[in-house]
Amino acid sequence: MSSRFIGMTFLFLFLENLYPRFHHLNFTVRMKETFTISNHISEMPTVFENFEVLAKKCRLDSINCNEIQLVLEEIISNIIYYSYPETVDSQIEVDIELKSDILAIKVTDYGMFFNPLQMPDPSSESSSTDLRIGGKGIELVKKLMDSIVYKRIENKNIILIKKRIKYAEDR
Amino acid sequence: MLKIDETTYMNFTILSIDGRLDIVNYDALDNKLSEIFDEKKIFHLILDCEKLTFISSAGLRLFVMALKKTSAGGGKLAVCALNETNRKIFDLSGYTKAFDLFPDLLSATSAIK
Repeated sequence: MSSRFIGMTFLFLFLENLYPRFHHLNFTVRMKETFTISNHISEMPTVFENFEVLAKKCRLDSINCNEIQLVLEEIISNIIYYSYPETVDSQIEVDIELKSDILAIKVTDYGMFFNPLQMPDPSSESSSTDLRIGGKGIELVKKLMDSIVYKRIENKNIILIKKRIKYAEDR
Repeated sequence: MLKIDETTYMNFTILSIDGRLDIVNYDALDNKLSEIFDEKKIFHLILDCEKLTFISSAGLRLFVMALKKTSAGGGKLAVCALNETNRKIFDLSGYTKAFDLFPDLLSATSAIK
């Protein structure tokens, strides 16, 4: 192994570690996690663990981590329940990418047509007598993220979600 | 991943929620709530969230169910010690006004008993 290669490797690792601290300088370093799960709720811990790997690399704080984990849970669990209503074994692909300070999540499944944006939007109630149980998941995703787009392409449901990450020093 | 401790006093029960209240782990709280409501041994209920690290809509659903069941029985429900993130989820879901939220267990206990 040449010393030049070793030097480049150290430089990359150095920049990768510095990146979250100097994200405002707009380094074009990308961090990405791509993985595939089966369409079962028991796969959710795998999703959380894979996200945590990326979150650790990007030094996301616990507030960002919790919010993104919530978004992943709501989107993927809805796909499992509504895109695959019958017990068909299939796969769901998850891409999570942080580029500069924009976090982009893409979730692709091969189930029946399911557009989470068309789910009924429960109005916020303040009386305990007419609180509806459930139905809050997608509403929370819309409020926590900056944009959410649904596409049906051939036999695939594709959900694209984006959020500008605020680091602790931006708050 | 989710541990529920139950402490019962004269006319109120405290459930301390420790861990993640997500779609994988919510069963522990669901089962405990079913148990105490089925036995009708509950009047007022405090959900202590000091050690609650994560809540999703699966967890919020149980809080709403607990609120409905305590109200139906003439009791009160108090939720206390939500951390910053969990409080934000309550706010965004529009549930803040529906629940009696307290900063800590002591203030919740004083208000409910």
